[in-house]
Amino acid sequence: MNYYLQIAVMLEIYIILALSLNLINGTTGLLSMAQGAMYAAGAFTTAVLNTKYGFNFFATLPFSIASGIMFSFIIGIFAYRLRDLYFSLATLGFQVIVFTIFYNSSYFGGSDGISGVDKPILFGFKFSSLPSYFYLTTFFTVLAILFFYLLSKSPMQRAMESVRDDDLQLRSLGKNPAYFKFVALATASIFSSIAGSLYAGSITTVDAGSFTIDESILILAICILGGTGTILGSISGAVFYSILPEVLRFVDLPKSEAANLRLMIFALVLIIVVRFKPKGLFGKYEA
Amino acid sequence: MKHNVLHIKNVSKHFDGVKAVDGFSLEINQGEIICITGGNGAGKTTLFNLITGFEKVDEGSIIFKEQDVTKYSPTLRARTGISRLFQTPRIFNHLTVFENILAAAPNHPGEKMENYLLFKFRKIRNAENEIRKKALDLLEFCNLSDKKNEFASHLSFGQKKLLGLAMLLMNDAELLLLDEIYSGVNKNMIEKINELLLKLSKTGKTFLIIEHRIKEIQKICNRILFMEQGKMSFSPLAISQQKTSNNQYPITNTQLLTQNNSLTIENLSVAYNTNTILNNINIELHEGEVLGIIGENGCGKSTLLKSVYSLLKSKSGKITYKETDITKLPPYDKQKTGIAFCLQGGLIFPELSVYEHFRLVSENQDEYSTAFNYFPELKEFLKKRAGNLSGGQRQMLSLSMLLLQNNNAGVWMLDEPTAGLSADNVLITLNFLHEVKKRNKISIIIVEHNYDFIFKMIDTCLIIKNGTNTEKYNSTEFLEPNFLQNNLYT
Repeated sequence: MNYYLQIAVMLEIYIILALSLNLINGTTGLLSMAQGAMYAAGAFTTAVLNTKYGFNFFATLPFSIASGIMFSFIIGIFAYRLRDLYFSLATLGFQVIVFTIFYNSSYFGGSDGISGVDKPILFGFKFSSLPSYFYLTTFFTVLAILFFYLLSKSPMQRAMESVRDDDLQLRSLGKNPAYFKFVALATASIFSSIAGSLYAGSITTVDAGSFTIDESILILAICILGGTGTILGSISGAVFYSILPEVLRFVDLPKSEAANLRLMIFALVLIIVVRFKPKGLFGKYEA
Repeated sequence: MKHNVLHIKNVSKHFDGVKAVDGFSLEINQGEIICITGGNGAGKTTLFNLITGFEKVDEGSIIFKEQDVTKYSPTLRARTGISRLFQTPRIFNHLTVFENILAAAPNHPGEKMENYLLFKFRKIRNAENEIRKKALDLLEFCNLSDKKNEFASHLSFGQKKLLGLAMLLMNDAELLLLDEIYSGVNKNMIEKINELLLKLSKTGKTFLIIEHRIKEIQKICNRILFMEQGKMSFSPLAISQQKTSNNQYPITNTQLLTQNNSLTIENLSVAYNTNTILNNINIELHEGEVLGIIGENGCGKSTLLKSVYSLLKSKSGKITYKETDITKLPPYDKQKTGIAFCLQGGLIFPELSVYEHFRLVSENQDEYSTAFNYFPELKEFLKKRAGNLSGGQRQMLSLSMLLLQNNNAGVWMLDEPTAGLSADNVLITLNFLHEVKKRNKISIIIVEHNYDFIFKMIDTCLIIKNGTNTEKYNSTEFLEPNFLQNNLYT
């Protein structure tokens, strides 16, 4: 039972990550490679504040959100005026820099990472058991889905979508595309850093190796598989990625090969989907 | 009291050493409708780019409502009240038609982050409701009500242009720059647009319009300016020439047609998703025939040509060319069998030079001179980047590529070949098509809204209405004065 709950917790974290990347990559049409860095911002803020300064998990959340927004500002300084491939390259560079800092700095535990993050405590109740932690992540996941649903009905999302389609026209209508890019990045960074904090609280050990460029690409792949531009797309992509190894367990495979096979099959499915269903499973835009 | 809205002082702009705009000055008062016309490549669109800030001014200054806006960014200029309709319509493809208009609303509180952070949701909702009401009226005006919830990318060229106009009106600027507002728009709509512009100008809006179709625009505008090589030309003769030549295209429909079938379209149906655009189209094109296709905006004229050329998938139907079934052939193979297609809007490769465009379609350099015979203007641009060509010059380039690409082509399909061409160049195009037809005995299918032009050169004409086509009309029928009134607008 606990095994499945652990998978469910990770699934929910991936749903939040995919939803927030979807806002950048799907709605606003910017291919961001820095999702892993935003994710790391939340995870390391919670881990550092908890283990070094004794902050409770919930007290670290505002700081983790702030660090996420700070990251989106830094990306903004050099990337808001860029488009398409150049934006992707700039965010890729940022991702690599962030990883290198976390990996090499002893303050962040270096390659061993920071271990011993406490489980969250709320009004004296400790979310130490797996079922209780599952409820916690479920709460944040539902919150994220609700938020992105309401956003999709708002004029703000409409403006972000118009950045995707034609920023020249948007400028000639007196609107600043860079502003909407910033709002999209900042909003996405809030939820990615919450996902990072939830990850820190769940695994209790945070090391830079979990937030490499591979992670950024994985989240992007989840988004594209499920389909960009829709909430259902992000959720289905994350579900597919998390359920896949469980399906593979029925095929009796040696453990050492199972992990590699999982990625290979995921990649194969991704290629097939992109070839035959360019919008992904439930997407609005063509990849 | 009329006051000065826009003051352009001695503005110049160079591209690759060519003066696109050369010391141009103009003063516009509030409520005026001013038309700028002139040959293709005279610098009209460049002037618009300078006023809206998409190109930087080399010399001179632009004063808008007593503010010097020369250094302002396009966004800032739009906020101070200058907005613009692009020559090729720019719309938000992934938004619905309705959302496109909503997205143009100025100062929407729902597009500012602070209103969300301060929980001012009521303010956002009220503004949104108000804008929705206004957008519905605009949809109604532009005849787009039934397309309300469709993606804007599904609209036809003319409809996109109208949508662009609706967005401008939603944006509510004081000075509206309209680049070829009539191109791709049918006659009925032109009159509606004229009425609206007059009404708006009385409420204090100012219009600067680029247009070649003087006959229609002169009904509403206060002044017609003629631009030549980046300068204002004051020769009244030039203007009167423009006016007359617009009406007097020579009749060129010579009956070359034979009874041999060239292209046959049987029961062609096309649908976007579940939306049927064309239903059971049946057309027989004889050798040497020039067929005109007319119809309202968005009736499926361009869709028809694109699906014949396999650029769009058709649902059902059969296309035969000289007794071979070519329904399933991909576009490049259709070109080889002898069908040539000139897409709407003069599509070109902006980074290639004119010469490189010619090289793309023909290795034989001796043939290039035939293209220059018809379109001498292109010769000057031979080594220049095609992206710097004006809209009309692009159109000429596409037509001459058609000429060079396939000398044994049997069918030419042209989608609005005269859009963006000045009256002189329409005349040149007319002669060009006539000569080509006579020399190569080809059949031509031509889609146009410029009825003055099309009726002078076609042998037969058919109307697309409600997704299906009428019988062919012959020249005695469509040259009757009430033909359009009786058949198209009923």
